[in-house]
Amino acid sequence: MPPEDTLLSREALLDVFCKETRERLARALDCLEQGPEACNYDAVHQEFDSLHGGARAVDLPWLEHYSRVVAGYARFLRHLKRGGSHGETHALLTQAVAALATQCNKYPLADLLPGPESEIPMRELLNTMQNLMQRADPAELSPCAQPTAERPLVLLVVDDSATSRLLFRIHMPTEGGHVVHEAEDADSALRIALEVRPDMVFLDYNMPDRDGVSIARDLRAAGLDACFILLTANVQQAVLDEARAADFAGVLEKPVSRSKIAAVLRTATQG
Amino acid sequence: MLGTLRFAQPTNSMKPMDLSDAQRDLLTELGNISISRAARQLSALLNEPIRFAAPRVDLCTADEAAQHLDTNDDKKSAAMACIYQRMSGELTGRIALLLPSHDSHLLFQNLLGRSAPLQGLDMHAFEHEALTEIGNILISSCISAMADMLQLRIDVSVPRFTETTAQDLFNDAVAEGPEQQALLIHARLSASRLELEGTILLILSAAAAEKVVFAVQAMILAAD
Repeated sequence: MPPEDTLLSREALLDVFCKETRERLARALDCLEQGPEACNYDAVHQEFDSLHGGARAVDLPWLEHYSRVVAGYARFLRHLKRGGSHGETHALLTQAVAALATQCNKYPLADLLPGPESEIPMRELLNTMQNLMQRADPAELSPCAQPTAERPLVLLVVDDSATSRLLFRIHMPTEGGHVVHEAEDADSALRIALEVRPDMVFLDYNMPDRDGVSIARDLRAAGLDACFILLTANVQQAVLDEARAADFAGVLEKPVSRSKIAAVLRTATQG
Repeated sequence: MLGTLRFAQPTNSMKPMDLSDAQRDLLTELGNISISRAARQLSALLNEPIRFAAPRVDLCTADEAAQHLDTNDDKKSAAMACIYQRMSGELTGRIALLLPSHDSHLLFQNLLGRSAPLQGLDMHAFEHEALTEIGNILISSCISAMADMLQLRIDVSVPRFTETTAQDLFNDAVAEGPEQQALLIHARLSASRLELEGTILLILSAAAAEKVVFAVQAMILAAD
């Protein structure tokens, strides 16, 4: 929900948000019209990532979900090697963006809700994108893309402790505009990771039923191409060795601090 | 200090493992390093320096630990915040951080209480959740120090929170088996705005306790 002491009414916020959304969708469609070879998927991802944040701020859960899936799918396409099926996967993204643009142009600005006739096609588009991401063969994805400092990073923090996730958010450096997503267990980590395609995944070592190392294996097996960081207070040598053997890029020791997170981000982005 | 755990000073009857002076000294140093590591993490959490006195370390049976609770002090029945984890790997048993309820509440208030993120949140549940994570960090830092010094791999389960009394805690340990050993590291940690009197308690099987003593002896021999 928007803050209670905001100076703008919800209707006014929605007006501003809808205008921005139309502009974002138009820019995303411009990118997509370039075709699968020339399309800047990072730019499409960025538009939908921002849209996701905006939808959360104005409390539109369906749009929050829709934009998260589309943003993740755009990142998924960026990692796909050029192949025979690329035209179809590109067309699917174009359809999803165009369907949302139609919604925005069709309904009153202050009442941005999916209409009954379009809701089902949009849901089917989402399901198709999610299925494609989940079924992707890791061999079809490009080698691990090193995050670069030129663009905001997408981070996923997986920790069963709400306090630990809260401390991460509190200490997250604001520079760079990095986006943080959260998951509290292995199932939600897999679902969200395939949706948002994070650059970096911070995994708690000690979680109910599973440890972070085994969850990282599952995420990789599902085709996630990301930089993995172990998040733990248990920094005994045996655990550090296990993380190294599992190809974790680093360890972030709890309790986290702004400087510790910044150091890990710096290391990851500078290689 | 409300609800402080007070143990009688070790007596001759509290030496079931029959530790040598060198072993006891090294075990105390182990406790000192473990608490130092925990104090460093607490300092990072609170963003201020933490002072602590040299901790006292006792190794005795759980039964004796219960017997030697200071019977002149009715605080043994006071509520304690207890964050505990099961240990597995090369050292099996349980490890717990015990804090008098008053201290644990102060700790929560200093760390997160003033910046509780949501109105209408169940603050009691939020406090327990936060203390569980704080306990996890402090316990893990102690365990990491011990594991590296003793050259033993020690895994811990997810942390659990409970409110209990010292008496009930030891009664439970004794009920699991009279041969259960208790390794107690008592420490008083202080920052500018709060003072904590906490105990790190390891409940070990007799075999696990022997493994600790064996590892301690190996360190002594290696140093000679």
